[in-house]
Amino acid sequence: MTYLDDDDPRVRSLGAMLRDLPSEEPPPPGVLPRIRAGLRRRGGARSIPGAPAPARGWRLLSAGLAAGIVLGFLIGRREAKATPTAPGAGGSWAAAVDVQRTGTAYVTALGRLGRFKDAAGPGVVQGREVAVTLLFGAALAYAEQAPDDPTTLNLLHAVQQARNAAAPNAAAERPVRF
Amino acid sequence: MCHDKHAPQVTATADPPSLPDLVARARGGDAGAFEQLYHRHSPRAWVLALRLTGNHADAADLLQETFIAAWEALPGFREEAAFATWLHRIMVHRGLNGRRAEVHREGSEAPDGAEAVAPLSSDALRLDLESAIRRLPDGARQVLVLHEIEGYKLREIAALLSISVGTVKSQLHRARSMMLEYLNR
Repeated sequence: MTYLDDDDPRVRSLGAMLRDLPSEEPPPPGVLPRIRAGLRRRGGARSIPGAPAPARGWRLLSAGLAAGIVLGFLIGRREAKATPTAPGAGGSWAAAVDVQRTGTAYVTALGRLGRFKDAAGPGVVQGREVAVTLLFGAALAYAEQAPDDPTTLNLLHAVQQARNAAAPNAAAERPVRF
Repeated sequence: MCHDKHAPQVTATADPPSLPDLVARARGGDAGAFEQLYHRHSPRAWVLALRLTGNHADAADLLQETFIAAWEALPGFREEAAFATWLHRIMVHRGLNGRRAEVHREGSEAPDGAEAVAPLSSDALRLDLESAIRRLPDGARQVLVLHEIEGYKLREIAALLSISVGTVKSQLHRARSMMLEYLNR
């Protein structure tokens, strides 16, 4: 190995080439969710940076969805008074059944909508928008219960990216409290 | 700046917030401001992490650790230091911690799988250079990246790595020789 000092033309040339290398490259999208999860694991009381959280419209929709679920649960509970339930299951059991029932109805409805996938009517477009909105609302509601679940984080991140890609200027500052 | 499409939109007409404003808000616990700082500074930090570690997996770990450490250390951040410089110093400290033994190990080779790192761009020269950097032993690579690309002085690197300036010079010489040898093949 020959000695190379700073004045060697090859060293100068190499240094110039190295300094010309690009200094920026977008990091992988998975890093930000990992940072959020890392901060959450540390139990910080500060809000988590960058986590997707609903804009006003999304919040209203989620609130409406939650209100509907609560209302449905209350009505269902009144009707269930005469119905025997599993011992010890109580309200959480009824809520779980409600989630399954409404979730099945959602998937079934999506399947019906899918039959019109070749149609260009406004109903199909609107139906898909509603489907994504509800999906995001459900993910947010789930995230409230399981904020550390990596599946939740990935789902929220993916939906947020899809929304940003569809409307790049619609991204908003979205800290989420935990 | 990269990632503009992810940058939070303040209003349709407002100017983007200044860096000191973002730093001050983030220091006060404003998560949205910290997110903006991430989007502004992570592309450069990511490249530094890639070059310091030599592979994507370790670079992702290092980037994550750096921003978590930055979030936690922000309340003590002194504004007289540039935020980017401060952030990069956190990364360098964390990147070199635990890897110091590699610097002292003479004749160490690039870790297995270093060649398997995905290419960073289609530019042939850049590919060659990046590939050559990744093939360097850890200690030589870190010294080369810090000195030739990041502009650290030899004595600063020596202090960071807790080694003598002579050892830094030796690592730098080794890195240059290996780079030239690789590029001339």
